[in-house]
Amino acid sequence: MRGFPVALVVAAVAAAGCSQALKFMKDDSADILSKQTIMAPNPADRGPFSVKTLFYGSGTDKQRAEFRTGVTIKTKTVDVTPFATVTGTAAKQRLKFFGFDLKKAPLNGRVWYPEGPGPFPLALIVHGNHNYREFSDPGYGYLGELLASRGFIMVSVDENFINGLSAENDGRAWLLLKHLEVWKTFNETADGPFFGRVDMHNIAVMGHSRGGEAAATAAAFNRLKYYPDDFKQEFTFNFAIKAVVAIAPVDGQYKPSSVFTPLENVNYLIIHGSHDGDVSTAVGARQYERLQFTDGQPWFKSMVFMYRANHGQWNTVWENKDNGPRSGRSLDLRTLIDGEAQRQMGKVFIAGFLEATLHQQREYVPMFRDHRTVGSWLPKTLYTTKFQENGFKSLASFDRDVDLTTGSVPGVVLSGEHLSSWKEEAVPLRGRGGDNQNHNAVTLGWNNYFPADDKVKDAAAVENARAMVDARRAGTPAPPWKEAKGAPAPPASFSVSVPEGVRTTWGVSDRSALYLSLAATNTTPGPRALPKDPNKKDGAEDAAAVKKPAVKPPPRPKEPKKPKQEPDQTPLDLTVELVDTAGHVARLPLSQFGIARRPLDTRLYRRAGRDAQRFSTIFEVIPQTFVMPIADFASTSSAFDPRQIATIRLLFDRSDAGTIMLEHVGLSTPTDPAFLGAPVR
Amino acid sequence: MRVFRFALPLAAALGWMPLAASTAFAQAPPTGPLVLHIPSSARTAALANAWVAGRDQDVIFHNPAQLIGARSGVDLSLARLGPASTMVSLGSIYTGGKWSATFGWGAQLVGFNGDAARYPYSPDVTQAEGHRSGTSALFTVGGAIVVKGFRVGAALKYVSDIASPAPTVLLPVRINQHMLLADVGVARNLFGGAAALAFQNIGRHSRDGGVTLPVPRQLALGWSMVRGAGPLDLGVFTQVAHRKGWTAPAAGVELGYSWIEGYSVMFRGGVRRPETDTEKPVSLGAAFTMDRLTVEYALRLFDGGRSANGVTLRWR
Repeated sequence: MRGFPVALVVAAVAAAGCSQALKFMKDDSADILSKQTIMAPNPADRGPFSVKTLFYGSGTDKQRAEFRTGVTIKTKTVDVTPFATVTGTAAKQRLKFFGFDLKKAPLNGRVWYPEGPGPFPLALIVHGNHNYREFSDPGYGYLGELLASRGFIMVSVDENFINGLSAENDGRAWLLLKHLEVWKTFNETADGPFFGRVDMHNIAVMGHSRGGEAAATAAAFNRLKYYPDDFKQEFTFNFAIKAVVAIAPVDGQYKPSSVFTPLENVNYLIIHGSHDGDVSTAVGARQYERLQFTDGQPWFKSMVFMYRANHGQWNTVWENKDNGPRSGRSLDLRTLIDGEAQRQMGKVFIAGFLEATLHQQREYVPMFRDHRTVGSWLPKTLYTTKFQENGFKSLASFDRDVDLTTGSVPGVVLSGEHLSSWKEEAVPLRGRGGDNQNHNAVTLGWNNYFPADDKVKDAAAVENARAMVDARRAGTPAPPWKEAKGAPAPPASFSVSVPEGVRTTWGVSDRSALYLSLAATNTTPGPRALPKDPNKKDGAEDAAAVKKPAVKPPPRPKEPKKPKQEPDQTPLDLTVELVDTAGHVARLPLSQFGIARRPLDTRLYRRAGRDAQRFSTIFEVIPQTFVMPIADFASTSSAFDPRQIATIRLLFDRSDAGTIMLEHVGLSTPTDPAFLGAPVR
Repeated sequence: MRVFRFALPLAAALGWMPLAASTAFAQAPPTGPLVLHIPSSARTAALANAWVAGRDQDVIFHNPAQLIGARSGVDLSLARLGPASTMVSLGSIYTGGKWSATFGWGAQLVGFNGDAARYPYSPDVTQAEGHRSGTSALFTVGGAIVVKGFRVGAALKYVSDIASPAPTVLLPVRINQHMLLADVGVARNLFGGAAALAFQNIGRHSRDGGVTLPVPRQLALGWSMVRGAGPLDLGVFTQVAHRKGWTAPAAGVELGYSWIEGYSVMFRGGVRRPETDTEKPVSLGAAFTMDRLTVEYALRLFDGGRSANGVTLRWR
């Protein structure tokens, strides 16, 4: 028993050693974010309006004076029980705490609004799930101040009273729409403070976490006549919701009619952090993919993935407590970007999005296509951007069938040459359990070298051994391991045909753009197999081998042990070739339009090995969208005719070996030139 | 304010104990079998055996209602109770399906050297070196369900005392007592913790070969809670047990600190009214958790500088 305290100390020391070292991706922001091309004012800067605040509500909140006696405008309560319920002890506790139950749910909002006659666009934001005793709605004050100063009315909606429930996300959405009804009344009430000052034709709904899904669900409910799960709940909303913002949203917690929420014809922005310790898989990517543009209006959607951002720091109440008050025990908080910096990113993108979609300041649109266009406004970290606008038409999205050679529209033929891998599969999510992004991509792998012969291998082994010895003597880290390369082979390629019918119908021209959405992976295929000798019959080589005299070759020197190395973080590159019907080729490197980074390794947890235990991979596959104006290609070849594009070819000649997941290949002739504006050259 | 909310029920619980004890005798009337008087693990020993509203696998020995919500896993406890006495216990929990049904089993064996004249043995026997080697054993299975917010449980126990006389003793009385007993319990969440009531050791007194073994039927009422207190984890466990002619209050406090997920240290202390005059009312303990393994230690003190030491290995 005397050994027990000693064992305690030993174990404590051992435990201290279990925390993992701080590791980040190589930061390329000094280069990537140095290419600002948008010259409009920074949307994160305060605007010209002076900001006023007030509270409206039902006046029944026991806990907060601002929603009890501090309300400037009184609102009626609503019965939210058709959408969200709580029973038993939990219901009693909540009644005691709040002073009301869900049959008399208040419509409480804290408002930041510009001083002036208006009318001003209206933006609602709703928090997500959190401890209901720690009120979440004040956490967006930084956005309220900013947006109001820029001529928006922003309301942070109080839905704390349904926090902690389950299967309630439709209730969150419905409450948002009930708040819009209230605002319609405010705008029409002659003696009220907002009479005629609300632009009800330009509305945004925004939400964080569960609220992020609720915002999209509200936009979907907005156009329905009935609640999908019960016709007795009639909907008569039909508000002019032009924009939806989802901050680190969940997805699928509410499924109307048992399907994922469909959404169409609205501008949509998702921001999500790589180091999200709550919604750790970027499930919002599914809602992004589901959004369809069908009415010819210049809608767009964008997803911005921010490296080192967490879940909570977009809310000043939640901050870095993604796993609750004791997050520091499990989450490695050192990995997080500063909270102010994370909110700065939120301000840039959210304010820019509302400027572009509600104020029609279209000069901000390109930032959602390519984050490099606003590089100098952004905190220095790594970003990935997905983007589509209403003009986008898919040639290949790899979802339609199981035939590797067919595209998304009839007549489109896919073909590959010298590829090491070519398969279609679901774009994964990093969480365990096989969950995925509910759509497919094609995985393409290549290696442009044949296997090295023994002589080359020996030389490489000697060189590697020497480099390791030198490094050891110098006390420096082991140098990168040089793989023995054989003879170079013709580069691999993947081609997508553009049939004549598509060219004509889609009106492809030099005003069009090619869209590629792809993600580089960490997989590097081995050397390409040697071509078979056409003069030898099958099995001839084997037979020859058998007949060889049994003389053993001299033993090869033992190769030095390959040191354990970090995955190669060098971005992949390739050449995009456009071939017209006459065979004229225009080509540009992919890297001219963005960066195809390797997956962003993310270590959320303090304990070594915990990330690998909890996730299937330590990165999320978020493809980067590359929007390539066809005019840029035409400028490289005078003979190339953009109207006669017959083939789009990805030539894997700029990285020796690698694998990509290609999510979308398509063309667009944008209805709004802003979509291709502010190009980064 | 938060501290005050926590302190109020704690103060009430602690204040209740001396009041409850004031009418009791100085020493518990002798009952048996011996195993029913020995703490089942280092954790319960350190926390004054105030476990009627406790947690984890140990509850199978104290209140089957608290099986609900107990973490599944295996506990193995070893204790050196005295110069010639040892204890080993083993327990495990399985969660079922409907009504949150949870099942558990436990076994506890105490080996000792006793004295024929003192039967039924008081816990003091573990501090002595008598002339007859004995074994006191307990095997129990139990289950619990949730009914309208109340956790309700029952357990069946087989207990025995077997002691062999020393060869030198003339006209030895062989001790060979076996009996089936039952525990029933009820618990529910209250005041941010758990309140629990258990009626233990329901069964007939045993008589065998001129030796009577009155069983320690007892009613135990307790309240416990575990919550964060700043950077620390605080647990408070209280209980008052009442037998015929004997009321014993007990309370334990544990303070834990975790610096990284999965690792923690815990320090424990307990105060109770001991069953014998030789046992000190204070017990102490500590625990260290590494992922799924917890190593626990407990120290109980007796007159004359004697002590009982226990270790529990808990695997989740």
